[in-house]
Amino acid sequence: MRKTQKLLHKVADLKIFSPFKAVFETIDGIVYGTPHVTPGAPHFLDHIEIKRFMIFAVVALIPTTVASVYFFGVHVLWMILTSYIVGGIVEVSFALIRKREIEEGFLVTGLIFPLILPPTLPLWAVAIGAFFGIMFGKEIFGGTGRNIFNPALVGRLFITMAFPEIMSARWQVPFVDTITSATPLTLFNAEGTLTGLKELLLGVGLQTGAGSMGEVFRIGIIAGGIFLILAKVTDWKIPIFYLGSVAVFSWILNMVNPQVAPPAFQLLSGGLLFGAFFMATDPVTSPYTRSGKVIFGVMAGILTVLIRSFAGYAEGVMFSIILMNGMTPLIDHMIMENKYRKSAL
Amino acid sequence: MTMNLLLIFVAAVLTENAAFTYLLGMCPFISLSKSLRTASGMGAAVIFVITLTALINWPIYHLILVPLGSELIYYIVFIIVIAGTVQLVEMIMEKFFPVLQAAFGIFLPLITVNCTVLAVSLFMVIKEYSYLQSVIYAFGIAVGWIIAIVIVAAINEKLELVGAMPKGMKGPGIIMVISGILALSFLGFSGMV
Amino acid sequence: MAESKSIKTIMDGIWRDHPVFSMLLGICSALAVSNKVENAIAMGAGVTFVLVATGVIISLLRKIIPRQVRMIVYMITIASFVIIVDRVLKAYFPEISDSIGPYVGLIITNCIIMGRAEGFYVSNNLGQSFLDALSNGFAYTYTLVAVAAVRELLGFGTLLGFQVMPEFMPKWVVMSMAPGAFFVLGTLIWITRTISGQTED
Repeated sequence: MRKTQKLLHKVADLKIFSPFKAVFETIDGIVYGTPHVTPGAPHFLDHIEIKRFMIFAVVALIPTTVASVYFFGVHVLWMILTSYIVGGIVEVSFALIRKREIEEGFLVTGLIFPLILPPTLPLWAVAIGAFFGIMFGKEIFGGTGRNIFNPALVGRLFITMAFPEIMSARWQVPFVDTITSATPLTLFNAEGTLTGLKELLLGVGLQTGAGSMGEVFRIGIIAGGIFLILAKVTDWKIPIFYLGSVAVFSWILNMVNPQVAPPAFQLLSGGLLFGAFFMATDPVTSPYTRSGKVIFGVMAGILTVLIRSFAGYAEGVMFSIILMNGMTPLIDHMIMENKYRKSAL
Repeated sequence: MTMNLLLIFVAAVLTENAAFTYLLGMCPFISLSKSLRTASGMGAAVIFVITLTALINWPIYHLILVPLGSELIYYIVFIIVIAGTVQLVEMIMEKFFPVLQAAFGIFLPLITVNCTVLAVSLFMVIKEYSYLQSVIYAFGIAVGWIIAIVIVAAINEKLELVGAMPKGMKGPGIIMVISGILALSFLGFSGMV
Repeated sequence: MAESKSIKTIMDGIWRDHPVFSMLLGICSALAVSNKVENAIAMGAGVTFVLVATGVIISLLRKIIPRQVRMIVYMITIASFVIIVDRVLKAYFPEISDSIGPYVGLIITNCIIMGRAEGFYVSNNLGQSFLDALSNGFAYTYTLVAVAAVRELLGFGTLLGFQVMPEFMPKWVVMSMAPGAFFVLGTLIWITRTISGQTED
């Protein structure tokens, strides 16, 4: 137990503060996490952990959010607002109809969702995606902490399939008002042009569309991701094994077939960093077993490279994370079964 | 040649997934995807029967029905072959492989009405596959179907533990939504083959 | 008394034991051919025809069919009528036949028909079986048309090929693909089950 935490407990134990016990418990939970570990299998129901994850995730997302407003202008703010309003309406109406508490889950989803969209997307498309993602990605499964798939990705996936023309031709060069259908990834697939790594890292000096609005300022994403790992909010295994498997797998494929992009470009283009640090790590939709996390990361990496290089889509992060979300219960089940069998012998 | 067969297999598993692309075999899919045990049992039985019926139906269609000019009745012939195969497999298993029988015997009678089986036989005729291609295709479709049902069953078991869905959504409703989201993500493979 | 039994048969078919929402039969084709209303109507008509014909034949022959081979008899009966449907579609509606192609053949394994044959026609007389077949066929058709109407409206902006939605409305391409079918049918099941109060276990 850290010194500051001890101090907090001492203050909380003072008699004057006894009516505010719940407040102190919340602060304690948010800042230090909970010492209690649920004994059974569904660890994902731990409420305090989720609340802590939410608030830290929002903090970690600040750099990339600010950068996207800086790069792409005010429309970004309107998109974030739309996403929050629509998500909030769905959340509140479900809470009212089902007579449950309003959950803070959509704080993160409502921010992540616009960040993975093309920066000039019309607001009605944002609204449809937010509605679909929160409704079919989360509420139907019982709300925050009970969903199987990442709700923001479900929304993104749905509008990608519903409105392919809008979703593939709405990219924007940072600071420039032209709308383009090219991103570093599509450019590589079409002409084999590799965008410079420095431009990719900073998002400045790009000649093509940059990509989804939250994925452009990659230094900020890396910083936010490392912050989350250091704060012990997310586990390091999934992002590291995800990125590592993309690097290794694309390195091998690139040697056999140069039409597959080289590892450094793979790592720094598209939504990979954003997905690996902020979406694949969601504790609710990823395995709770340790080896499960490794399997999750490695398989997501392989799927990403496969889809990027051989399928009709230039970007495979969204598909791979949703697919691995779907496989998560199976992975956990198999690992637990394996363990029981070993301990029984 | 091997490349061609490999492509047919990959396509059958991923881009032409029986459950998520062709929407086949949904009745057993819904009733059996509530537990992993039954799902994998049914899946194993399906792989076996689909491959076997493709092995039998191809020569019957191309070597008997077409030369006789009686392709018209191939629906009847195919379904009888399938029903007969299922019956035969059941008898053989009961007699010689009681362990297997215990594992997935109870799913065998249900397979006759799993439309994936008949669909594979019909598709292989429509796609004009050779004998080897048909068998690989049938095996791939079956593998794709079992992958789909096992994933959905595992998700269902987890949801069963949590159990906070809206009442009307429980069971078939949620299976539909889960399959829909998975079908969306399987679209990511399109263009691969 | 006979009349109330008939009414019960009809009501069971079209609402209480609704083949798709309640008994979850015939889902495959309900999903696969419901991208356009015209396909849904063709499929619904085909299934209704096969249901009625099978119902009549099986209920007439129910005393002669030996129990052991009854499954085979159902199948041959169903398959024969499916061939007729297939031929009629090919001859008179070649476009529809092209778009729902192999799924016509899959009427054979549509569990509604096998289910009704085993569950109702073998044990009921001609009149009741006929009514049951008609009401089940009707229920199946209106469900298919309902799913198809939503999918065609959003996916193509049309109904039965006529432009209904304003031209500027973007088309929801996903609705004409497999995932759209899952979401629309899932939502419909959710709504009907919430109304009827039927729940799992």
